[in-house]
Amino acid sequence: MAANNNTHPETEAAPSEGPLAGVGRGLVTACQTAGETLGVLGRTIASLPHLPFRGRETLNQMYYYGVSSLGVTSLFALFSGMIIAFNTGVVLRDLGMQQSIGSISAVAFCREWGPVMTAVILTARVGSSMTAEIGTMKVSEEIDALEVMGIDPVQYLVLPRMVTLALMTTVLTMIADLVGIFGSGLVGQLQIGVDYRVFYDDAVSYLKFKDVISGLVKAFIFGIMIATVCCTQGLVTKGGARGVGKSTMYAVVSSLLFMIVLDYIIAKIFFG
Amino acid sequence: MTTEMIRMERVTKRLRGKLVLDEMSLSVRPSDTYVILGPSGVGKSVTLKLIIGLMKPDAGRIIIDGTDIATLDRREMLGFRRIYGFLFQSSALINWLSVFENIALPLRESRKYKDNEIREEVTRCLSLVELDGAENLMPDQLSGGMRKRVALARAIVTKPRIILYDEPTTGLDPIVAETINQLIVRLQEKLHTTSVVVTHDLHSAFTVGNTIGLLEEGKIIAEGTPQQLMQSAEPSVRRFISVTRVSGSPNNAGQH
Repeated sequence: MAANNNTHPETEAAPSEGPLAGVGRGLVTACQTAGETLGVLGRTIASLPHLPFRGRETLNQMYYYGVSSLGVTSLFALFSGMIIAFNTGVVLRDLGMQQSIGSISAVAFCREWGPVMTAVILTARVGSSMTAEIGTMKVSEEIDALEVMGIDPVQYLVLPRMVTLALMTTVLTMIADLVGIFGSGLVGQLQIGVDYRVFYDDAVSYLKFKDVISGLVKAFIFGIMIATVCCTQGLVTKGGARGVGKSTMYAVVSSLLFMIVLDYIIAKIFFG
Repeated sequence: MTTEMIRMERVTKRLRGKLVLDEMSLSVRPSDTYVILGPSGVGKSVTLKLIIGLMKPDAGRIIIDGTDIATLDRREMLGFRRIYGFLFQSSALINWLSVFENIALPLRESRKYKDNEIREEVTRCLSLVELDGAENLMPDQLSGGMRKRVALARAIVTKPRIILYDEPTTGLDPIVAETINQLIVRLQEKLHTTSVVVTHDLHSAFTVGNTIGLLEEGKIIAEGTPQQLMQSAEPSVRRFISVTRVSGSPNNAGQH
């Protein structure tokens, strides 16, 4: 996973350091980052019974994480569906199997493309802002202020964000799946010459419940992971505005790496 | 009732290899206002963070109201911290919450108060810091002095037994700084809490403190009432007082 040099300034590589020492140092900080993230995840899960319900704030977060990400997610899904249909459709047409375009698009979207694409968008759009927000709170002593008031920052800041983002990632993935499959059907009808009824029948007959549910489970876990990684990076921020910038960068990179590893593990569990 | 509200016993703390506190001992009686005076970078804020448990000492013990805080785990410490109020140097108001919500935050999160009780307490504290009617303002609409006063209201809203002030007058103009000093004195008279103030501002220290300890080289090198400190023949005390009087701050001494 990406190493967060920012959180461990004393471990930054010295200019005269050899490549092996640099690799070792990178591994140590990567392990520290993973350890910190797992620690926050454990504390967040332990805080679940104390999940605060702050109606207005929760609605604001749902709107910001979900509703305001809907446009960009839908646009991405639409064009992704069109690209998948076009690229596979051209090859399938040459093989005389273009009627299979519906099943290929539906499975690709529900199992893989919908949750991954949604998670990438939410990492860039929401995860980075979580890190920047909490990181700024950290460097301006607001996190310390919560602690001295007897308020657990993980329970107050991380837990509601994690729950909201996990739900919103799942909902957005459902929408992305539908929009993406619609985009594929559109290209199938207009450019590949597959009637939308044939496309629909092929998609429905091949798609299994397991395909849909594995994608939604992925989305839910990605949401938890993005919130945990990004909030952790915010909580360990040091060093003013530059530190916030560095933490944000590490949060995005770490989230994407965690995501691809988790993606493989979940696929293996469902279909291995 | 214990005779000491805060006791630090031979506390040592290193930060990134640098010795900040070197077997420092300190004792604060109940209802006393103890000022830790010293130039920037000598470990004053570290001392406050140790007292409130945001940092752990490398060696030594910190006893708060009879409890050795090193024996408390993380969750116990969060609960124990309700004994404290803390005024941060930067005020540390939560930026997206209004003045009312900032002050109400510790009460709301304790989940022990009804809405009308919270409203009463917030109004009472705003009145104590002379900010009646500021409930709906947001932190970015406040001046530096107002932010300090809101932070002070938030620090006292839970009726803490100990209030810690981290450089309460730093960054404020002399008139606003004096207002804050007088506010600390008045709050002390009304609430009778135990207070620890860290500052490098000699005037502030002598205005608010009952006892002043001069922190240098990781230790309290001199301690006494403001009068005793003023009359001290100890060379390091005389040097600090004379440099501060000339420059306004010991950190600026080299610039004059």
